[in-house]
Amino acid sequence: MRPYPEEILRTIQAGVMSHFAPELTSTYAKAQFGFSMLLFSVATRDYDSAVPDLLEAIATLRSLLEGTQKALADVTADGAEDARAVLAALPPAAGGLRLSALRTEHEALRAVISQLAPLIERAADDPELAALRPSRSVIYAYLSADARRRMVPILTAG
Amino acid sequence: MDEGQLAAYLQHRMPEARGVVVSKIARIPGGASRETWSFDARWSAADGATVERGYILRRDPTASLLDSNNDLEFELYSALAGSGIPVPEVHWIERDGKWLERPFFVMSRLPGISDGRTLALSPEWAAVRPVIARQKAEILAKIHRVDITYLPALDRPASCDASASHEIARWERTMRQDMLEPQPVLELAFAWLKRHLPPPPNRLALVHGDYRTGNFLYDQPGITGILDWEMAHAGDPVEDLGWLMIKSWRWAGDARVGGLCSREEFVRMYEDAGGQKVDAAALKFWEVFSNVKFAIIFITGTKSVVEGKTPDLLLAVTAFVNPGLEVELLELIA
Repeated sequence: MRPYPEEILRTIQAGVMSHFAPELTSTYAKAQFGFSMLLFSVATRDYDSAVPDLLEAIATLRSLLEGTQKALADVTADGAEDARAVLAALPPAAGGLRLSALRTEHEALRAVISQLAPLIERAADDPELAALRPSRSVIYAYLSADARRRMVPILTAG
Repeated sequence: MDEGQLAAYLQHRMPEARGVVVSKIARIPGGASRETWSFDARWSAADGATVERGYILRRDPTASLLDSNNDLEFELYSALAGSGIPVPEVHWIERDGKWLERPFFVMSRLPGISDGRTLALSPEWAAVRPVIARQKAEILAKIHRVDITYLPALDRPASCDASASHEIARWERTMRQDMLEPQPVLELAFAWLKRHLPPPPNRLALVHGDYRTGNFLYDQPGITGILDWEMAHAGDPVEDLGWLMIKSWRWAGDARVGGLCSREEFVRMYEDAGGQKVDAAALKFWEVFSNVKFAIIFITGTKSVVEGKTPDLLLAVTAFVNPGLEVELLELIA
């Protein structure tokens, strides 16, 4: 039914803005008020896209990890065996579309990237990890794109 | 905190003063690691003369971006008085909550403003910018020449060789303790840092730890005070240069570090002022490290917010700075 939750958020934001803002006097209170408005905007922005964003991220992460697993198949460098064991035990898929379940799966997959980080990073210039280099590039590109999606322009320098 | 509480405190600290009156109490926004309050005080001295002073009070918050202590900052301000490094005069420190619920210290209010964006962008400051850039480099070189022997509260590595690994360990420990979700970009950055340790400094220096445009006061003649020493420690002086160069402080939106000058210019002015020769690889190491450190500071803030330890909305907002830091890190270590 209407209003949808994101419309409620927008309504609260507008209400707070018109009823409370004019009564604020100190610089500190005005700053806190500004932060609250920014947070309302982030919550509204992310509300509608949270589920599809997570589904897409999960699919991409699984594909990246699958590619990494293949690339590692014949690698004998230090740490490769442990990495193969981690990749052979990827977390299970979420049992539904609840945000909580999708977040758990997403975080578990990001934790796998975290575990592999020393090996992936080393692939930049370690000849024994040359086979992992293309995977390294796509993982970095994915993480960068994912971070860009989460950015809030007003808080981004440069 | 109200006028009465502060007047009672000042009266306790200055028993000879008569009729202490406190006014214009205002909390200064920002200061996410410690509350900062400004106030005026007026009283009659023993000879009957009226005295008026402006003060800054720094109080521990209920939760913070940093686990810092008042003693270190108070000790540094006291030790640096008269050193040629402009710092406020500190007066009193209270280590319990008897007077104002939480520990705090009081110092004199210096003239000037600290806003980095105004300095970098406002035409009003255009003529002073080069002066401030040079002063910023000269003061930093001076800070790095301070004898740390008499600063016992400073955290320090076991040796010069350990300066970088000591800082890596400190911040990695903080991340593991405070992160609420996996941090793959920071894990990659830590892996990079551990494989690119810089050459050790010739000697351990006083590292400010948060030396940037925005953490000093300036006025038309130039820099009037260096503030926010809560992350000070002993270590590699290049760490401060790496920190002041990160993208987050490029307030003008271009390549100028701190919104003031090019990185090459800043390094040259720093070296000309007596700072140690800056190794390019070391500078890159500390720039990567600084982005990591900054991101971890916000991870700590996020934890405080999510766990309901603070109503300070700044700590919730700063969580959204991290995606930009991640992008910058990935570019630096690609």
